[in-house]
Amino acid sequence: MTITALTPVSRSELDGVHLEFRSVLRAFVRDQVLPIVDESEKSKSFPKQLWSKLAGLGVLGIGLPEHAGGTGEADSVAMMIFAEELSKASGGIAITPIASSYLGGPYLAKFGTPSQQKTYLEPMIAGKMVAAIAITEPGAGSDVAGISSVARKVDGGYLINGSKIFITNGGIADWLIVAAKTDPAERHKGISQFIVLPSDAGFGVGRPLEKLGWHSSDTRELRFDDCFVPDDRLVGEVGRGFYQIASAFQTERLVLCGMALGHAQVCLDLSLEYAKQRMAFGHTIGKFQAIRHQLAQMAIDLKTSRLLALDAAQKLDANAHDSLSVVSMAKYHCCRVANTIADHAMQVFGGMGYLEETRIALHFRDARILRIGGGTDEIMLEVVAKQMGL
Amino acid sequence: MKILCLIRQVPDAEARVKAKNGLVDLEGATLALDGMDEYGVEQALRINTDGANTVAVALGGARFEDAIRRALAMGLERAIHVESSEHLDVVTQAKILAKIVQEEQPDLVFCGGQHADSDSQALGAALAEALNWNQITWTTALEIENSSVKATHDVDDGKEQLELELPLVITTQQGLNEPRYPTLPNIMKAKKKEIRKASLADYGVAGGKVRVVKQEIQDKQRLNKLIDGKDPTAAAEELIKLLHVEAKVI
Ligand SMILES: Cc1cc2nc3c(=O)[nH]c(=O)nc-3n(C[C@H](O)[C@H](O)[C@H](O)COP(=O)(O)OP(=O)(O)OC[C@H]3O[C@@H](n4cnc5c(N)ncnc54)[C@H](O)[C@@H]3O)c2cc1C
Repeated sequence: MTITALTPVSRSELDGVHLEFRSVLRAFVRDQVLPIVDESEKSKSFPKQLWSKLAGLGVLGIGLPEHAGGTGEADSVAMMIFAEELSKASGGIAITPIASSYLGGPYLAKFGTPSQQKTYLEPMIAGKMVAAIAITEPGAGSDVAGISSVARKVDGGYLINGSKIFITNGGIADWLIVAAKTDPAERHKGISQFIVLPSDAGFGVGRPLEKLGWHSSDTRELRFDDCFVPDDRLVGEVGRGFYQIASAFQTERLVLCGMALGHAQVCLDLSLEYAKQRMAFGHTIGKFQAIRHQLAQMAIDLKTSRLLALDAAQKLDANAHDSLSVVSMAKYHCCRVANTIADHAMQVFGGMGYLEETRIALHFRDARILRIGGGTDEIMLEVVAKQMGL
Repeated sequence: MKILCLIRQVPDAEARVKAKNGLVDLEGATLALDGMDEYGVEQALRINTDGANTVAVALGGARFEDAIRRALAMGLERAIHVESSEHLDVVTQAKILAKIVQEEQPDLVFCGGQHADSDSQALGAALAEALNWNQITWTTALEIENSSVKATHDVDDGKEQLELELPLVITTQQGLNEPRYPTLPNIMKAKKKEIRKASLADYGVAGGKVRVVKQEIQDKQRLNKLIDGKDPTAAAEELIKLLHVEAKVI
């Protein structure tokens, strides 16, 4: 019996640290997350007991500043692994810490003052505070520069007026990064970002929005009526909000690729197992060409997604010249593939796939948002086309 | 206090094991640090909370390094890996490990209570014998004050309290503690920790005393038990009895 060390033979494979990290997360998800998915989906709420456990694993601060308790150096691969493994249990559970740490966190990590990092980022990484990022409005989603919330300069701070919609963690956040126009006459150059606290006078949270999927995730409408925010809660520079958002979007898109890989992988794994044991017409269904080709196609699609996502992650961390384009390609491809694979999985499972108990239904509905949130398919294609000089 | 933790790598609980040419073939199977050894690693880190003076000791093939890295990522300070993919019986293993214990001079050696792969419980005892040390087996609770160790040990119908002096070999049992998950920063740090490599020859051993002749995978047969359904009440009672007493699923 000779056993050889599993050393990577291709640069597109995970290295030892990431493999080990993935195996720790797999055990964690199996023991601590999977058993509570049903309850969390039914109660439509995130299991609060997970915050301290996630913090204990160090996964709320991947790539965030070391002085605030994070791991320091950018590690998009690790961040994607975290997103993937958690999404294998539930997209709604996964997006909750992801929206906090990797959609909200990067703003304070990159543009926050030392005092903002100490007050807000540090407790978030320690699992003691939850963050949200509020950009989308009823009148503007893809068109970020078209938002109409206004932040008017007053003595000692700003008065925010307007509304936001679809805000993940909107009802459970301890701080929210809110985008508003400090110069309503401008588009891209008129946006600034602020830290808003739920206790701020003039800030209001709507009821939880009912959704197709992401049942364990909290999604809200927000209102701002003369909501006063002091000067020291401005994030980054006045008028630079759009560019700050554009830069943080790259991290968000990669982490969504990770989530897509999670849904796709679990759907493929379950389908393969099912096709090998489900009998019809005297054969296991995996013997039918129609089914086996579907499974082969799923495996190929997943592999191309993985390769593209890994390439994009390494390029983003290395600040490569084509990272904007590759990240957008990866977001588009991985999120579409997750949906195709979830659809094939439903077909392979037949009626069983439509039932909650096989979990295919959960992944089918949770994967769908990935083609919309963080930049729609169409916007990703626009970014890629623009980078091609079109 | 200096602590040695014996660790082994075993097929993951969910791994599918195959046989090839009459021997178990682990190529491609997911392997993991034996859960019983994890209790020992965790306990060592609860005694020496900063990880200082804690050493992982492993005796096995090249892939054992994954298990060693896991123990280091949990927090042990360094490791010794006697690399050999040969099948070694427990007595031979104990002979090698005893030499390492004599080199390292620890106060305490943790050993898994039972191997997850072979179900053997002999290693801890064999090591204690080779060292002429006392041992506490199947330990579910442990308290150490200076050089005195108070331990709870499982017996068939209850528990036994023991009090012994160091040095000791202590074998673990489920319930001793809840092993931690390594954090990402600690996984990274583990990459840089020392793993001293050694070979069987370094310990004057040529091979084991037992040769594995053949291994095979047990086929699970269906029982095909049929219950006569003429009397539905009796059939239901019989079904419940079978599920409860035989299958033990309800
Ligand atoms: C569950 C959920 C959670 C969310 N969480 C958050 C959050 O935490 N924070 C936040 O700020 N937002 C959040 N969003 C909002 C999300 O980012 C937006 O829904 C998304 O950006 C799309 O915007 P929209 O819904 O306004 O669609 P629109 O922009 O109105 O787009 C409608 C359609 O038109 C297409 N389209 C638009 N412009 C173009 C164009 N130029 N070329 C081609 N096609 C185009 C789009 O691709 C889409 O198909 C969330 C949404 C959902 C559903």
